[in-house]
Amino acid sequence: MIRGVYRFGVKFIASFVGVLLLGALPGLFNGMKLDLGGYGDRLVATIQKLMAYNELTFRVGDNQYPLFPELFTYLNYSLILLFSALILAFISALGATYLTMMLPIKFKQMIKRGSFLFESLPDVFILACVQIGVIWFYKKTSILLVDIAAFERIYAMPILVLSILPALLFYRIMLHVFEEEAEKPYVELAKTKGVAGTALMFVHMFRNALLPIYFHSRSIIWFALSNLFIMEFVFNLNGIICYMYTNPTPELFTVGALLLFVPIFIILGLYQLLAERVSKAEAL
Amino acid sequence: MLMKNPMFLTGILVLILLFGGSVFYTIAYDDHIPQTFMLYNEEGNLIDKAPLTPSQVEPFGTDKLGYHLFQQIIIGAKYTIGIALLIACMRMSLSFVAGVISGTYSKKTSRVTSGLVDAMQYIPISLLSYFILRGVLMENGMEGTFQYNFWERLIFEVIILTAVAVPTTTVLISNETHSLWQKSYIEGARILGGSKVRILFKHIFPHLWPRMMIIFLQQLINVFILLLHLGLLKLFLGGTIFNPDPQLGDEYRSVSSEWSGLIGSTYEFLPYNTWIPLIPILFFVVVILSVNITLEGYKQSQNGQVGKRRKRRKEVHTTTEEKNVSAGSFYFINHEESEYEDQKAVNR
Repeated sequence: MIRGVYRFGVKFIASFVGVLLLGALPGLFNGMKLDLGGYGDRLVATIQKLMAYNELTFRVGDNQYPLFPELFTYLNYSLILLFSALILAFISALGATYLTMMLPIKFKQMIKRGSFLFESLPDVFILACVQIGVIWFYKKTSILLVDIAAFERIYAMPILVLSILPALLFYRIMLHVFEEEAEKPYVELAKTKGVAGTALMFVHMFRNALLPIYFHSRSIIWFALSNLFIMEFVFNLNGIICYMYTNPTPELFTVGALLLFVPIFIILGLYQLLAERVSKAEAL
Repeated sequence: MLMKNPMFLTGILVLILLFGGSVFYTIAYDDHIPQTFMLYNEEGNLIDKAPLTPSQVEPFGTDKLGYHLFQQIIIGAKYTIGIALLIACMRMSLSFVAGVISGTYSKKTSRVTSGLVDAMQYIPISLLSYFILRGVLMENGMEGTFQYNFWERLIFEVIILTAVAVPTTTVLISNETHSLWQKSYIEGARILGGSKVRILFKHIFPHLWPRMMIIFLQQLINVFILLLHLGLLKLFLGGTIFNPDPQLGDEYRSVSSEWSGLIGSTYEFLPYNTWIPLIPILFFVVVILSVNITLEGYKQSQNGQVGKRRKRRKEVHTTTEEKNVSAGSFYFINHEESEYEDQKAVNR
């Protein structure tokens, strides 16, 4: 228990400091010159402002408004989009993996060969396709699937769009992990004992696959975050990253980054703990 | 082996064709962009004006000033591909040196370092680069001037886009190197008296190269996507010309005609003049896919080397299981080996 606290504590503090340092990074450059003093000043100023976080304000026109708790609505929206999309991606990838594992080897090979092609599609391309698709559908049927220009927050479509690329990445990783898992002796044993394929996969193999999937898929979160940003920008969604983009003050950038970092770190940590508990192995 | 892999070859070929074609076009036609502003039918009547669709002007249509998109794409290819290659190479060489040194001389990356570097994962890299680069790349709208000249801006952008990825890649390479040093054959080489530098060059690097190649291609894809994002945020390679115009909407133009500029400056036309932003985006897709195909082909050829050897061993095995038994079927399987053993015995 103490080990666990230490393990995550050190990492949390280190990452926290890292985010602070990165947040002040735009202050390092004065035009093109390196400005170490300016960087230090900015860092200290940001930290001081963060200490008195209740007094932080943002500006619309000439009016100043307090940043909190207003900012949390933006944060919530972004986080809901991000995690719903990731969960959706995880589940659909798991389903697809299950179906693929049931297929005969020949098809499996073909799918494995072909799947890599789609995962590197740039997110901008997918967003453009969705936009064109929505417009085309509107022209044909005069039903507006999503109101992209609306101010109110929409959920279904952004989550779906955001989950496409992570789902493909998850799918590839899961297929790889499950295939490796399938060659282990315990699977053979379970098969000889007559455990059915579905139960074998979801009860026994899934448990052991959770941890490797975690290691391979940590970068997916980062990838999805940058997708989320571009999506918020293109679709004009009122999420926190777009907010950081439109209000480019130094402290807001740091605050936004920290607010994103804390929940993502906690959820990743929880997933890791869960995976370790279930597979009875310890990572790192 | 590698040169026979069809996927690897296809990917490389597409990249070379685009890049080479672009350079050739500059040399042969001096970056000439044909312009068709008015379109007349056979009787000489005006039927349409720019922007013209791809079906009216082959192959890709024109932008709103009537400049043909195809030539713009060709001209832009060398900038986009060239810069991306340059940035990916710089990322790799810096991280390689730093990663190998830290992987060789220090223990496993400590929790503190990896935590610090992990912080990178919680900030969208495009947003961070945007904030750093904006001051330099964006033209000052009020004065209509840049603070720095084209080459300064370009170099600054290359350095920043390199630097944002170096920490993560360094940790990755450092961990790779460190895990190679733990292998038992390295232990063997050490016992035999190899110096650290010699072991590094003779035993570590050959195993590190394939990984480096894979990381390099992944970084290349990363850079392309980063350029695309920055383009969408109206930061174009080498600088953005910015004309604030409250009536007609602000206008952003790229200094060079590279692709992300073509996309960023025209993305809002997507609903009505779909092809203008879509065609550069499609070219980005083509380039990224061909890098990915190259990567996949490379991975396959790496695995293939192992797979082939295994197959050959199997073939030898099957010859011993003939059905029609004849006198010739009986021979010593280990004939060569036993001969070798004999020779060894003689030598002793």
